[in-house]
Amino acid sequence: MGHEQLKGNLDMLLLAVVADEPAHGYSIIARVRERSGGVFDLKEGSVYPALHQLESRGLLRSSWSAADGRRRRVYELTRRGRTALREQVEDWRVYSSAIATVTEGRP
Amino acid sequence: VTTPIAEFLRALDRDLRAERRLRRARIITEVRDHLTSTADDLERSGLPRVDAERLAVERFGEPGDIAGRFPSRTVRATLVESYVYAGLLVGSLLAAWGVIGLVGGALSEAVGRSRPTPSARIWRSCDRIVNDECVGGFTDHRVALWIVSGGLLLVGGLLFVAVHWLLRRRFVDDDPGSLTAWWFDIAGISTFGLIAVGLLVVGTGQTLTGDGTAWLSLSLPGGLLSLAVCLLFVRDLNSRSATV
Repeated sequence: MGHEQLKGNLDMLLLAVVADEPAHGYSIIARVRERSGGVFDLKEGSVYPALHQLESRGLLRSSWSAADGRRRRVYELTRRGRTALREQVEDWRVYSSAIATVTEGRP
Repeated sequence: VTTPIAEFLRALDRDLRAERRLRRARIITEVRDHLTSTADDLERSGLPRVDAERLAVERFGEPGDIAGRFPSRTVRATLVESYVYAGLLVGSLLAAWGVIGLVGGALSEAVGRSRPTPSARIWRSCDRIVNDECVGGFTDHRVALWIVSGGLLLVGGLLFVAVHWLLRRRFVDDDPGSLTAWWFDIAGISTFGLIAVGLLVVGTGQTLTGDGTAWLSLSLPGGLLSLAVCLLFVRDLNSRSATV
């Protein structure tokens, strides 16, 4: 998938992978790649600013944890984030269904 | 030893110069962890360490581009935090004043403005011990002022820290290694000390040492210290990541 298309949906993807369980940036990127079968290979450097942005909007919260002697910032979904994710997924369903209808010539 | 990751982090740190110290430190720590994890994985797959780090850095992107993407701290977030801080301070002070008011008869008794109360009698006992048996000759209400000031400082400070602890996850950087949270407490407690002593001096019309010059010499270093702590706090306030 093109980077521009991916960029438009980056927030939804990040919220979706954090929704299952809290995760740090590296594992968030790995989960997106894994779940999409390698189709979504996020630009790594763009993920952290996006996570900070989501946090500043109150959709994620984060805290430090220690693993293997290293400090990691772990992100988790807030209640507002869960609501926002539900809305974004619903919008996406409507949008992708409309695209399919048009491109496949279905009535 | 300069490694590709260390070089990258130095460049990123330079490009993040506009960010305040603690926020910059958080970003650098996160990126360092990411790059190290990537390099570790690549090394496990057979790449030499230096090549693994170089590839990890390449994948991550340009430091200047990445630095520009981080959201700026909003004025609103700074204002909200400042208001919360001020609210906590005033609220805790009032609550502390109420708690101390329960034993406030001690102060009134000390300056001869009301009848002795049970707490005043308690104070008189303390005063007798301190003045007559330990210090000797120090027989005015100054000890009472110090006791009540200390009480205000202690109770107010504890209340302040307790409320701060409850709200820190939302309003303050919860990094246990960060000094920021402690500036918040130290600034609050220092301010308490000054306000408490100031109120008592104004309220009783007495100086703590009975001598204006001595009072000034006592309060000036404390005031300067408190001001310095507050300035450091305000500086760090802006460095925290916005959470509102």
